[in-house]
Amino acid sequence: MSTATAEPIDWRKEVQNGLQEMKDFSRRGFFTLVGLLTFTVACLVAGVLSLRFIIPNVTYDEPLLFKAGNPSDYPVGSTTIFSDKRVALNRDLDGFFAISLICTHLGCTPRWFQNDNMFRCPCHGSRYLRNGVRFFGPAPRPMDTVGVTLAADGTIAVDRGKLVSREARLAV
Amino acid sequence: MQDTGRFQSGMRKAAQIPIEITVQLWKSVFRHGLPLTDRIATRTALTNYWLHAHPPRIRKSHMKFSYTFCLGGISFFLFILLTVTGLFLMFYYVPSVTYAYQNMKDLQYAVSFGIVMRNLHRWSAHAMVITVWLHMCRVFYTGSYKPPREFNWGIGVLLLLMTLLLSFTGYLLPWDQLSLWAVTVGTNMAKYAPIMGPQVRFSMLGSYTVGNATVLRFYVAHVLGLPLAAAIAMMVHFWRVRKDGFSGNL
Repeated sequence: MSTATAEPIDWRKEVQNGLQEMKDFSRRGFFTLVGLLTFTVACLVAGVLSLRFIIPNVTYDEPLLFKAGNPSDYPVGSTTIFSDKRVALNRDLDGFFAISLICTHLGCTPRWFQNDNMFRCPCHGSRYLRNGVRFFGPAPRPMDTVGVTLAADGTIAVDRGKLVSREARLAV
Repeated sequence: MQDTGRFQSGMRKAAQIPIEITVQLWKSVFRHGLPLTDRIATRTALTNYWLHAHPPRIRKSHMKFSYTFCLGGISFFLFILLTVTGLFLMFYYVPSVTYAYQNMKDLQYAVSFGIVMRNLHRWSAHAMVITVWLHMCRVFYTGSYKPPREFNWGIGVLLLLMTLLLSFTGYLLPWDQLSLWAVTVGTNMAKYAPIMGPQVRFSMLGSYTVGNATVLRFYVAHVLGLPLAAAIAMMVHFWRVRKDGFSGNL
């Protein structure tokens, strides 16, 4: 058996053939072109629809806002971890602030170490200060500080969808 | 007398019919007669893709085990093994965050030979990733990616990608801590992609966090979408191996 070898393509001849075919443009050629165009458009439409279909319009994620009880539950200087909500709620002399516990490296949940006064991420070892500032590891930026407000019923509401500046505090 | 003779010859012809049908059936499958001689037997094997997927003629030196290490064949065998064991696992597995972990534990402790099926599936999956990588290295080091085999190299790269995606999607299905965070990390890597990274992650997960929608998505891709695509790519891959021949002159 001869091993298959690619024959060199004579591009000049190919182009000439193509031009000749365009000169000989016939009724059949026209309908072939229409058919191919229709097929291409149909494929594109089907592709776009399929792609759009797999992107959901509604998800079952839980609401980003949650209530965290009365301000008096939290002593000054405390750090409270809501592990299911992935939020650390801190209270300082000048008020409340909340850190979104999503590691800025690849999204794991950094854990609070009270004795060391820092967060450590279990996945790749990033470390953060209590205010979310990264000081060690592969994470590129500080963890987000999210909005803390006082709800109408006097409880604390943490809105994980609202990013605020790291200095923002809810004074109570 | 004449009538009887005609009757007898008719009977003889009728008796031939089952034999003729059998022969035709045989030939329709094997394209040659019964393998009564070495020549016919060789032809039968060489012209039949099922009996002889490899090209009929290759270099003698390439017949050695150490030329291919059977890596492609082992990968394919593992794919078959994964398909069969995966099929069995599907009988006890519900792709939902409520049941997935419990079902996985049931397979380990409550189903007869469940742990064998699960571990066969798991270890074969690990092994397949290794053999596919080694196969790619072997093809590279023997220069078998060069023309006219560059198309099949491309198909092979797609198959490697599909193997890795099958591994990744299967990783989530036990729904333990390892699954959850591995997929969180993996999809966050996709998020770093330029322009539409977050959208890519969102459509992979089917939600903003790894959850029920993600398990269902990964399950469908793992048991249907990716294996189907891989099987089609494999058909082309093997056929091209046969038609392009092994690398090197004869």
